[in-house]
Amino acid sequence: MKTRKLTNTAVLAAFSLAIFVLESHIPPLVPLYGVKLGLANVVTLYAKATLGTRCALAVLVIKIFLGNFFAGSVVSLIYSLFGGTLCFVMEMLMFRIVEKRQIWGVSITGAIFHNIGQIIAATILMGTEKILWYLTLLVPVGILTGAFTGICAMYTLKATEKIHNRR
Amino acid sequence: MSNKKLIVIFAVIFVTFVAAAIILSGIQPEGNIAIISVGAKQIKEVDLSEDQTFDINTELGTNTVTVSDGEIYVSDADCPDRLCIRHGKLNNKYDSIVCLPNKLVIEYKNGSGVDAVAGR
Repeated sequence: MKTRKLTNTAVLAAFSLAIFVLESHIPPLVPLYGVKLGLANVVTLYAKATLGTRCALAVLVIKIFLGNFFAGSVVSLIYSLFGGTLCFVMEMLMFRIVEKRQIWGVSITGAIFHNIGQIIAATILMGTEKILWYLTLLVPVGILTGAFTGICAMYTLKATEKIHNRR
Repeated sequence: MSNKKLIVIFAVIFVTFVAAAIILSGIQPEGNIAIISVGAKQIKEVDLSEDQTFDINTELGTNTVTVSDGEIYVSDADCPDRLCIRHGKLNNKYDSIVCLPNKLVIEYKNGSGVDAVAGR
Protein backbone atom coordinates (compact mmCIF):
# COMPACT_ATOMS: atom_id res chain seq x y z
CA MET A 1 0.00 0.00 0.00
CA LYS A 2 1.39 3.35 -0.98
CA THR A 3 2.11 5.84 1.77
CA ARG A 4 -0.32 8.35 0.29
CA LYS A 5 -3.12 5.80 0.27
CA LEU A 6 -2.32 4.75 3.82
CA THR A 7 -2.32 8.34 5.06
CA ASN A 8 -5.54 9.15 3.24
CA THR A 9 -7.23 6.09 4.73
CA ALA A 10 -6.07 7.13 8.20
CA VAL A 11 -7.36 10.68 7.76
CA LEU A 12 -10.72 9.43 6.49
CA ALA A 13 -10.98 6.95 9.36
CA ALA A 14 -10.39 9.81 11.80
CA PHE A 15 -13.03 11.92 10.02
CA SER A 16 -15.52 9.07 10.07
CA LEU A 17 -14.86 8.40 13.75
CA ALA A 18 -15.30 12.06 14.70
CA ILE A 19 -18.61 12.28 12.80
CA PHE A 20 -19.83 9.03 14.37
CA VAL A 21 -19.04 10.16 17.93
CA LEU A 22 -20.52 13.62 17.30
CA GLU A 23 -23.70 12.14 15.85
CA SER A 24 -24.14 9.78 18.78
CA HIS A 25 -24.49 12.82 21.04
CA ILE A 26 -27.48 14.16 19.10
CA PRO A 27 -30.67 12.97 20.82
CA PRO A 28 -33.03 11.00 18.57
CA LEU A 29 -35.46 13.29 16.76
CA VAL A 30 -38.28 10.77 16.48
CA PRO A 31 -39.29 8.15 19.05
CA LEU A 32 -38.09 5.26 16.91
CA TYR A 33 -35.00 3.11 17.29
CA GLY A 34 -32.40 3.19 14.55
CA VAL A 35 -33.34 6.57 13.11
CA LYS A 36 -30.28 8.69 12.52
CA LEU A 37 -28.70 10.32 9.52
CA GLY A 38 -25.65 8.09 9.37
CA LEU A 39 -23.38 10.89 8.21
CA ALA A 40 -20.29 8.77 8.81
CA ASN A 41 -21.36 6.73 5.80
CA VAL A 42 -20.48 9.73 3.62
CA VAL A 43 -16.85 9.11 4.54
CA THR A 44 -17.06 5.37 3.82
CA LEU A 45 -18.56 6.07 0.40
CA TYR A 46 -15.95 8.74 -0.29
CA ALA A 47 -13.20 6.29 0.68
CA LYS A 48 -14.61 3.65 -1.67
CA ALA A 49 -14.89 6.13 -4.55
CA THR A 50 -11.40 7.59 -4.18
CA LEU A 51 -9.29 4.85 -2.56
CA GLY A 52 -11.06 1.57 -3.30
CA THR A 53 -12.96 -1.17 -1.50
CA ARG A 54 -10.20 -2.31 0.85
CA CYS A 55 -9.54 1.17 2.19
CA ALA A 56 -13.27 1.79 2.60
CA LEU A 57 -13.55 -1.43 4.60
CA ALA A 58 -10.63 -0.31 6.79
CA VAL A 59 -12.35 3.04 7.43
CA LEU A 60 -15.60 1.28 8.32
CA VAL A 61 -14.02 -1.28 10.65
CA ILE A 62 -12.01 1.39 12.49
CA LYS A 63 -15.13 3.53 12.84
CA ILE A 64 -17.28 0.69 14.17
CA PHE A 65 -14.78 -0.57 16.75
CA LEU A 66 -13.30 2.71 17.97
CA GLY A 67 -16.62 4.57 17.64
CA ASN A 68 -18.41 2.14 19.93
CA PHE A 69 -15.39 2.07 22.21
CA PHE A 70 -15.58 5.86 22.64
CA ALA A 71 -19.32 6.43 22.47
CA GLY A 72 -21.11 3.13 22.84
CA SER A 73 -21.29 -0.20 24.57
CA VAL A 74 -20.87 -3.88 23.78
CA VAL A 75 -24.54 -4.00 22.81
CA SER A 76 -24.28 -1.01 20.48
CA LEU A 77 -21.16 -2.60 18.96
CA ILE A 78 -23.19 -5.68 18.02
CA TYR A 79 -25.86 -3.49 16.42
CA SER A 80 -23.20 -1.54 14.53
CA LEU A 81 -21.51 -4.73 13.32
CA PHE A 82 -24.74 -6.20 11.95
CA GLY A 83 -25.85 -2.93 10.35
CA GLY A 84 -22.39 -2.01 9.09
CA THR A 85 -21.59 -5.40 7.54
CA LEU A 86 -24.88 -5.75 5.67
CA CYS A 87 -24.71 -2.11 4.59
CA PHE A 88 -21.14 -2.46 3.29
CA VAL A 89 -21.78 -5.68 1.34
CA MET A 90 -24.87 -4.24 -0.36
CA GLU A 91 -23.11 -0.97 -1.12
CA MET A 92 -20.21 -2.74 -2.80
CA LEU A 93 -22.68 -4.74 -4.93
CA MET A 94 -24.53 -1.55 -5.78
CA PHE A 95 -21.29 0.18 -6.80
CA ARG A 96 -20.96 -2.41 -9.57
CA ILE A 97 -24.49 -1.88 -10.84
CA VAL A 98 -24.73 1.91 -10.92
CA GLU A 99 -22.51 4.55 -12.46
CA LYS A 100 -20.09 6.60 -10.38
CA ARG A 101 -22.27 9.73 -10.43
CA GLN A 102 -25.16 7.73 -8.96
CA ILE A 103 -23.49 7.35 -5.58
CA TRP A 104 -26.76 8.48 -3.97
CA GLY A 105 -28.33 5.20 -5.11
CA VAL A 106 -25.52 3.30 -3.40
CA SER A 107 -26.10 5.31 -0.24
CA ILE A 108 -29.86 4.66 -0.18
CA THR A 109 -29.29 0.92 -0.64
CA GLY A 110 -26.72 1.03 2.16
CA ALA A 111 -29.06 2.88 4.52
CA ILE A 112 -31.95 0.46 3.89
CA PHE A 113 -29.77 -2.57 4.56
CA HIS A 114 -28.10 -0.94 7.54
CA ASN A 115 -31.54 -0.65 9.14
CA ILE A 116 -32.46 -4.22 8.13
CA GLY A 117 -29.18 -5.44 9.68
CA GLN A 118 -29.94 -3.63 12.92
CA ILE A 119 -33.45 -5.07 13.09
CA ILE A 120 -31.94 -8.55 12.60
CA ALA A 121 -29.53 -7.81 15.46
CA ALA A 122 -32.41 -6.60 17.64
CA THR A 123 -34.43 -9.73 16.82
CA ILE A 124 -31.54 -11.93 17.90
CA LEU A 125 -30.65 -9.90 21.01
CA MET A 126 -34.24 -9.58 22.21
CA GLY A 127 -35.06 -13.17 21.29
CA THR A 128 -38.35 -12.06 19.77
CA GLU A 129 -39.57 -11.47 16.23
CA LYS A 130 -42.15 -8.87 17.31
CA ILE A 131 -39.93 -5.97 16.35
CA LEU A 132 -39.85 -7.00 12.69
CA TRP A 133 -42.88 -4.73 12.20
CA TYR A 134 -40.53 -1.78 12.71
CA LEU A 135 -39.20 -2.51 9.22
CA THR A 136 -42.31 -0.97 7.66
CA LEU A 137 -41.11 2.34 9.11
CA LEU A 138 -37.34 1.87 9.08
CA VAL A 139 -37.09 1.03 5.37
CA PRO A 140 -38.71 4.31 4.19
CA VAL A 141 -36.73 6.21 6.83
CA GLY A 142 -33.57 4.59 5.43
CA ILE A 143 -34.47 5.76 1.93
CA LEU A 144 -34.77 9.36 3.14
CA THR A 145 -31.62 9.44 5.29
CA GLY A 146 -29.71 7.47 2.65
CA ALA A 147 -30.71 9.97 -0.03
CA PHE A 148 -29.47 12.81 2.16
CA THR A 149 -26.09 11.25 2.96
CA GLY A 150 -25.78 10.11 -0.66
CA ILE A 151 -26.24 13.66 -1.93
CA CYS A 152 -23.65 14.79 0.66
CA ALA A 153 -21.21 12.17 -0.70
CA MET A 154 -21.94 13.20 -4.30
CA TYR A 155 -21.16 16.87 -3.66
CA THR A 156 -18.10 16.01 -1.55
CA LEU A 157 -16.75 14.02 -4.49
CA LYS A 158 -17.55 16.85 -6.89
CA ALA A 159 -15.89 19.45 -4.67
CA THR A 160 -12.71 17.40 -4.28
CA GLU A 161 -12.52 16.34 -7.93
CA LYS A 162 -9.81 18.91 -8.62
CA ILE A 163 -7.57 17.50 -5.89
CA HIS A 164 -7.77 14.02 -7.37
CA ASN A 165 -7.20 15.21 -10.94
CA ARG A 166 -4.05 17.04 -9.91
CA ARG A 167 -2.34 13.81 -8.92
CA MET B 1 -28.83 2.15 -15.03
CA SER B 2 -30.49 5.48 -15.68
CA ASN B 3 -31.24 7.97 -12.92
CA LYS B 4 -34.93 7.71 -13.71
CA LYS B 5 -34.99 3.94 -13.31
CA LEU B 6 -33.16 4.15 -9.99
CA ILE B 7 -35.49 6.84 -8.63
CA VAL B 8 -38.56 4.81 -9.69
CA ILE B 9 -37.24 1.68 -7.93
CA PHE B 10 -36.64 3.53 -4.65
CA ALA B 11 -39.94 5.41 -4.93
CA VAL B 12 -41.84 2.13 -5.37
CA ILE B 13 -40.12 0.58 -2.33
CA PHE B 14 -40.79 3.75 -0.31
CA VAL B 15 -44.50 3.91 -1.20
CA THR B 16 -44.98 0.15 -0.62
CA PHE B 17 -43.54 0.29 2.89
CA VAL B 18 -45.30 3.51 3.86
CA ALA B 19 -48.60 2.07 2.59
CA ALA B 20 -47.97 -1.11 4.60
CA ALA B 21 -47.24 0.98 7.70
CA ILE B 22 -50.43 3.03 7.24
CA ILE B 23 -52.60 -0.04 6.63
CA LEU B 24 -51.16 -1.83 9.68
CA SER B 25 -51.62 1.22 11.90
CA GLY B 26 -55.33 1.27 11.03
CA ILE B 27 -56.01 -2.26 12.30
CA GLN B 28 -57.59 -2.18 15.73
CA PRO B 29 -56.81 -4.93 18.26
CA GLU B 30 -59.32 -7.60 19.28
CA GLY B 31 -59.99 -7.62 22.98
CA ASN B 32 -58.29 -5.39 25.47
CA ILE B 33 -55.54 -7.45 26.99
CA ALA B 34 -51.92 -6.42 26.65
CA ILE B 35 -48.92 -8.66 27.06
CA ILE B 36 -45.67 -7.54 28.62
CA SER B 37 -42.55 -9.54 27.87
CA VAL B 38 -38.90 -9.21 28.70
CA GLY B 39 -36.91 -10.70 25.85
CA ALA B 40 -38.68 -13.83 24.63
CA LYS B 41 -40.31 -14.46 28.01
CA GLN B 42 -43.84 -13.28 28.66
CA ILE B 43 -44.07 -11.99 32.21
CA LYS B 44 -47.46 -10.33 32.57
CA GLU B 45 -50.93 -10.05 31.07
CA VAL B 46 -52.63 -6.74 31.67
CA ASP B 47 -56.37 -6.07 31.58
CA LEU B 48 -56.72 -2.64 29.99
CA SER B 49 -60.20 -1.98 31.36
CA GLU B 50 -58.65 -1.51 34.79
CA ASP B 51 -56.67 1.66 35.50
CA GLN B 52 -53.37 0.84 37.16
CA THR B 53 -49.70 1.69 37.46
CA PHE B 54 -46.97 -0.82 38.15
CA ASP B 55 -43.22 -1.36 37.82
CA ILE B 56 -41.52 -3.99 35.70
CA ASN B 57 -38.25 -4.80 37.41
CA THR B 58 -35.57 -6.89 35.74
CA GLU B 59 -31.83 -7.15 36.15
CA LEU B 60 -31.58 -4.83 33.15
CA GLY B 61 -33.65 -2.00 34.60
CA THR B 62 -37.05 -0.71 35.61
CA ASN B 63 -39.97 0.49 33.50
CA THR B 64 -43.11 1.98 35.03
CA VAL B 65 -46.20 1.01 33.04
CA THR B 66 -49.47 2.92 33.31
CA VAL B 67 -52.94 1.86 32.15
CA SER B 68 -55.57 4.57 31.96
CA ASP B 69 -58.84 4.84 29.99
CA GLY B 70 -58.14 1.53 28.26
CA GLU B 71 -54.77 2.63 26.98
CA ILE B 72 -51.34 1.44 28.01
CA TYR B 73 -48.04 3.29 27.96
CA VAL B 74 -44.66 3.46 29.67
CA SER B 75 -44.75 6.41 32.05
CA ASP B 76 -41.23 6.16 33.47
CA ALA B 77 -38.04 4.24 32.75
CA ASP B 78 -34.41 4.18 33.79
CA CYS B 79 -33.08 3.36 30.31
CA PRO B 80 -30.74 5.93 28.77
CA ASP B 81 -32.73 6.81 25.63
CA ARG B 82 -36.26 6.73 27.12
CA LEU B 83 -37.69 6.00 23.67
CA CYS B 84 -40.25 3.67 25.27
CA ILE B 85 -41.78 6.70 27.01
CA ARG B 86 -41.71 8.83 23.87
CA HIS B 87 -43.42 6.05 21.93
CA GLY B 88 -46.61 6.94 23.79
CA LYS B 89 -49.71 4.76 23.85
CA LEU B 90 -50.02 1.38 22.22
CA ASN B 91 -52.26 2.28 19.30
CA ASN B 92 -52.90 -0.60 16.94
CA LYS B 93 -52.93 -4.36 16.68
CA TYR B 94 -49.38 -4.63 15.35
CA ASP B 95 -47.90 -1.83 17.41
CA SER B 96 -45.41 -2.65 20.12
CA ILE B 97 -43.77 -0.48 22.72
CA VAL B 98 -40.14 -1.54 22.82
CA CYS B 99 -37.43 -0.65 25.30
CA LEU B 100 -34.27 -2.05 23.73
CA PRO B 101 -31.92 -1.47 26.70
CA ASN B 102 -34.30 -3.20 29.12
CA LYS B 103 -35.48 -5.76 26.50
CA LEU B 104 -39.09 -4.86 27.32
CA VAL B 105 -41.91 -5.38 24.81
CA ILE B 106 -45.54 -4.38 25.32
CA GLU B 107 -48.12 -5.46 22.74
CA TYR B 108 -51.74 -6.50 22.42
CA LYS B 109 -52.64 -10.10 23.00
CA ASN B 110 -53.22 -11.80 19.63
CA GLY B 111 -51.12 -9.00 18.24
CA SER B 112 -48.25 -10.15 16.12
CA GLY B 113 -45.94 -13.04 15.74
CA VAL B 114 -45.73 -16.71 16.62
CA ASP B 115 -46.61 -16.24 20.29
CA ALA B 116 -50.19 -15.43 19.39
CA VAL B 117 -50.47 -18.54 17.19
CA ALA B 118 -48.89 -20.81 19.78
CA GLY B 119 -51.25 -19.40 22.39
CA ARG B 120 -48.51 -18.94 24.95
